[in-house]
Parts: sequence; C-alpha cells; structure tokens
Amino acid sequence: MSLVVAVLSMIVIAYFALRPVFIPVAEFSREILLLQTQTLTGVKGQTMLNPGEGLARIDLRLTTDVAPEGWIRVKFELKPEPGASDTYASEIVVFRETREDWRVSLRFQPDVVPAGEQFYLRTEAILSSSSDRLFFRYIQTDEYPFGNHYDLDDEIPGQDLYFKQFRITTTPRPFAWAEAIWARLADASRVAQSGATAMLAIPLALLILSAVMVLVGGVFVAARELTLPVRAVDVLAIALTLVAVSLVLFLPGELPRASLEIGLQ
Amino acid sequence: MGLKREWGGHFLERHSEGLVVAALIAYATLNALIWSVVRPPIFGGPDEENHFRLIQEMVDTGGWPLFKGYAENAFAGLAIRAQVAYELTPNMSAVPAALLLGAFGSGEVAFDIHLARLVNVALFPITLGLAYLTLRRLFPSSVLMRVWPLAVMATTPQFTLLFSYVTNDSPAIAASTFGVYALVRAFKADFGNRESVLLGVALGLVALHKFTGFMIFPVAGLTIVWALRRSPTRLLKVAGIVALFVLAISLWWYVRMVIVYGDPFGVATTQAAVDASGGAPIPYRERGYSLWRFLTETEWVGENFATFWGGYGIVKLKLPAAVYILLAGLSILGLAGLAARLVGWLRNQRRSADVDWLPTAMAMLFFGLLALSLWSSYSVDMALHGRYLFPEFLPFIALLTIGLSTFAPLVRRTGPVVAATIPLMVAGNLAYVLFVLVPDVIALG
Repeated sequence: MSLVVAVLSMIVIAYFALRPVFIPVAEFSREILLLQTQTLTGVKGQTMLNPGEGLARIDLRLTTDVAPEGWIRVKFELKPEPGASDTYASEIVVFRETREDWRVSLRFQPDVVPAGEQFYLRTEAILSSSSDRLFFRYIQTDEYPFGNHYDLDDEIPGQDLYFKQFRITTTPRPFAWAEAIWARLADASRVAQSGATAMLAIPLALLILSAVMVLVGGVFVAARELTLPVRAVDVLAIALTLVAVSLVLFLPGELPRASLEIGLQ
Repeated sequence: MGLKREWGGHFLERHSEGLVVAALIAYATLNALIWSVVRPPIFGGPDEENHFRLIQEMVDTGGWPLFKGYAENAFAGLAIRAQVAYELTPNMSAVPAALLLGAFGSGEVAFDIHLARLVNVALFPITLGLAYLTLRRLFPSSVLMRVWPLAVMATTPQFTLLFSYVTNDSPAIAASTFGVYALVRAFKADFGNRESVLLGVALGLVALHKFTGFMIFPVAGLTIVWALRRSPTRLLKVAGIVALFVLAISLWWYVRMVIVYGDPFGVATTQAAVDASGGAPIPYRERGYSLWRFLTETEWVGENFATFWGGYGIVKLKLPAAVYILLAGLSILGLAGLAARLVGWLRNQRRSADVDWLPTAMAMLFFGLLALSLWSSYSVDMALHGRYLFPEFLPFIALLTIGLSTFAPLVRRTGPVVAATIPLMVAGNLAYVLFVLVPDVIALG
C-alpha cells in the first residue's frame, strides 16, 4: 500500500517538476479591483511592451456566456500595432461552454515579438447568436504605463485589459523552478533597494533547507503518533504524499485544465 | 513508539520534536529576513516611516525624541486619530536600532531602513523560542500540542510581517511573550525566588514597550494572588520581588514622562494634541454610537479577524479567500471546544479551587486584550487592525490548541493527521511568499 502511495505521489511530483516554467515579467497587483468589459464590437485589444528577451506567454481572463448549441469564435493575434496588416502570430479558438473564469494562456515562440518594442494583442470575436456574450477582465485605471485598452482598434486611454506577461527560463527543468523563484526575489529585492540581492541567495537556500527539515521532522512526528509499526517505506510514502498534496494545494494554476493553453503560430 | 529501530529512523524518531522546532524557528526567521529584504523601504508595513523617523532622530540627537504636537489638520478627513504619539510610547528596541544605525548607517534612507529592520527580524527567533518553552510547560505530555501551535505562529503571514519591518509592535510582542513565559514558568515552579525575579525582569521589559502588551500586568497580579492565596507571607514576598524588579527596570521612563510632559502614559498629552491640530475625527463613543452600531458599521470584528492573519490594504498582504475560510473554521471550532470544556466543567459542579489556572490566565490575557482593543477603538481611536492583539498571540494559540484538542477523541488517528499539517502549513506559507507576496512587490499598481 505504502509503495503504491509513494509511486502515485512521485508521479504527481514529476508532473509538476516537468511542467513548462515561465517567469512573470509584467503583472498587475492582486490588490487592484478587476472589472469586466463586454466585447460589443467584437474586437478588443491591448497595446503592450515586450520588456526583454524571451517573451513567450501572455495570460488573459475571460468570461463566456454561451447559449445552448451556441459558440463564440475568438481569434487571438499578436501584431506590431493596431491597424497593422501583418501579424507576428495568431490562433483561433472556439468556446462552446459558459464559464465565469477562463484563464487563457497564449503561448508563442520566444522572441516572436521583437524585444524592447511595443506590440498589439488583438482579439476578434464572432458570436453564434445575439444571446452569446464574451467578457474580458480589465482595469479602469491606468496602471500599465506602456499601453492601453483598445476597442475596435481604437484606443481607450486610461484603461488596461488585465494581462500577465511571462518569459521563458534559461535553465532546463526542473531547475527552471529555482530560476523562476530566484528571478522574482531578485527583482523584488532590486525594487526594495536593499542592495543585498546576491546575498539573498544564502537565506533563500537556508529557508528551503529549513522547510525540508520541517517536512522530515513533521513526518517523524507523524510516525511517532502512529500506534502501528512503521517501516522506512511508510515514512517515505508520508513524505512524498505531503509534497504531492502541497503541490496540488498550493500550485493550483499548474493543474491540468486550470488554464486554457493556446499556441499562437 | 512505532518506528522499527533497526532501519536507522531511531535517531530522527527520538529527536523529531527538536528537529521540527529548530527548523520551524529557522524557517520563520529566514522568512522574516527575506521579507525585510524584498519589501520596499518606508512601505514595509503600517507606520514604518514614523518609526524609522524616530530612530533617525535618536541617532541625530543622541537622546529620546521629543513630542512637539501635530501639524495643523494632521488628522482632518482621516478615519483615525492617534491614540498615543510615537514619541510618547516606550520602545526599547529603538535603542539597538539607533546604535546599529549610528555604527553602520550610510545616511541613505533605503539602506538604513533595511539595516534597522534587522533588529525586528532578530526578535522573531527569540519570540518563537520563548513561545515554545511556554508551550512545553503548558502541554508537557503532548508533542503535538506544543509543536503544532508553534507551527501556526511561525507561518502566520501577519505575524511574520511584524518581524520584518521597523515597528514598535514586534518588540512589544517579544516582551509580552517573555512575560507570558516567565508567568507560566513561575506558576509551575510555585513562584520560587529565581522564577519571581525572572517574572519581575520580564514585566519590567514589558513596561518599556508599547501598551498593547500591558494585559500581562493584571493577569500576572491575579495569578500571583491565586497561586499564593493560602500563604500571605509568601504572597507579599513574591509581589515585592516582582514589583521591585519591574520598578527598577522601567520606572525611569514614567518618571521622565512626568518630568517632560506631566503625563506618565502620554495618552492625555496625545489626545490634547490631536484635538488641538483641528479637524480630527471624534471617537465613535462621543458621537453617540452604541457599541453594537459601532461594531456593525465599522465591521470591526471582520476587519480585525482578516488583519490578524494577514491582509493590510495599503501594504498588500491579502491572503487567498480559502485560507480565511479555513482559519475562520478553525477559530470557531477552537472556541466551540473551549465552550464545551467550560460547560463540562460547570456541569460537574466543580469547586472554584479546581480551576485549571493557566488556561484561565491565557483566556484572560487574550480576551482581555481583545476587549480593551475594542473599547479603545470605540472610545479613543478607530484603529482597525488585528496586529494589536499579537502581544497575546501565544495565549490565543494555546487556547486554540486546547479548544481544538477537545475534539481529538472524536476523530480516528488525529495525531498523524495533525502532525502532517505542520509541513503543509510551511508549504502553504512558502507558496504564499513566493507566489503572492514577492510578485506583489514588483507588480504594477
């Protein structure tokens, strides 16, 4: 039994370890109140900046309200600018179900958008009937300094669609997780002007080590509480199960079907 | 003990408690250190700018900062008014911070704030260590009942925050936790001379910190009276020893306050200055609000609960909604367990002499501070924040543990399941730090 649990837990851990890892390069604070805007013209978009090398993912949040048997066809495009005839990458997706919170994750080849340049994310929706509705999460205040919300390719100054930009990691999986964690901490440390970015590596390494020691100690405290004889494989199974459960509980965004991944070609 | 000894788990089995405790304290301290590094200067937490200004003034003048009143309309249009001015609130931790800045400060605000934060970070392992020593005395027969509450303390985000930025809250918490430890130790040792001296020293230190920690004074007094009620001579002796050390350590501050301001606690001076500044909000009680109307209109309970665990709008610490629901469930269950124990005790018609004093003292400490916090919010300053209750976080956690343990016999294999939540708490905290707190520092808006 313990062996089965250990193997199942290892499969879950391997799933997480081998997930593609991205590093956020632009995101809005969780404190900002997100509102919903309905696409009435069928075309919505947002100009944004590619802040550096390796941009490969943009996340959006949508709501669909689809009539029975209905559908909403959305074309996602990356363009140099609003009104431009050429396209960096695009893909068409058909939504056939009503859902409050689609977490759409647009994936594309790194540097399909030139680094350091502004570009335009355009969405064009065709609805099967007048009772279908498509909403985007957006922000009613101008929080993003490098672009704006567009409707029918016309700028709406002072508003932004909600989005999140990510770049790829440079290290292979599963070490890419460490790179992603470090990149965020280092960025935060720079923003906080602590002047100790490199030194942050030591407490971070010790922090993770102490978390592992809590896991080991916690497993043995749990084993002590068991009245049955406990074998080494049981202890291993408890430890692996706790790691797997932690990953499922605390990284829900990485679970299958947590987001709709769309590859732009 | 369950583990078979031949496979090498013997050592870890025997030392698992020590390992978890050491790892939890190390984790919490490193966590607070990382928070202190990545959170922007001045905006590390509530009022950091003011606390740092005072320390800087101490470096510049070489003495305690003097209160000169408030600027005109300083509180006009605000929902809150000051309760006690920062300059009038005792805070001994400002002294090592000022010495640190004097020796190593660069004059650059960002660097100096990060440097001063180290004093608050250093108080975290001391606080947690004292909490664990107290829990050992409160729950000598259960490993889980002393390790699980420590894990809650080590992984509560708001608690970590208070030890990661320049504030007078964490020193008050550390001092108060020392007071609780010394009180429990003295009670368990029947107030021997050494324990009484330690209690006097601890209470003296509490008296030199923010007033939110002062709940320990009446409770310590009652505890001494209760414990020694049958031997008046010893009662007088212990009370004398404790009072002597408290006064020897802290009296100078209050004498200085009387000499400089004519006001030992600074409350009257502050309120006069707030009123003189003009336009300050009138306390709810003076406005004629009933306590019930005050509670419902200000959402005092909900806001205090939310900010007790994490969440302060201005400095972005919100916890996921599911976590609040879980914590609310645990708190309600803990309260229900305490109520069930109380009802059981009353049903058995026990005599008052049978009162288990330490849990009673813990209840007086936490619920006493809660009541005082409510009353001061209602009658003096509408200060909505759960952190004001943290000087009695240890009594709260002890009560929660006692309350929850009431239900332990109803659940099969409670022990291993509860033990398993300890690593889960750390994992959740780590995920929160890495995927919520740190990204929010760099997020737009």
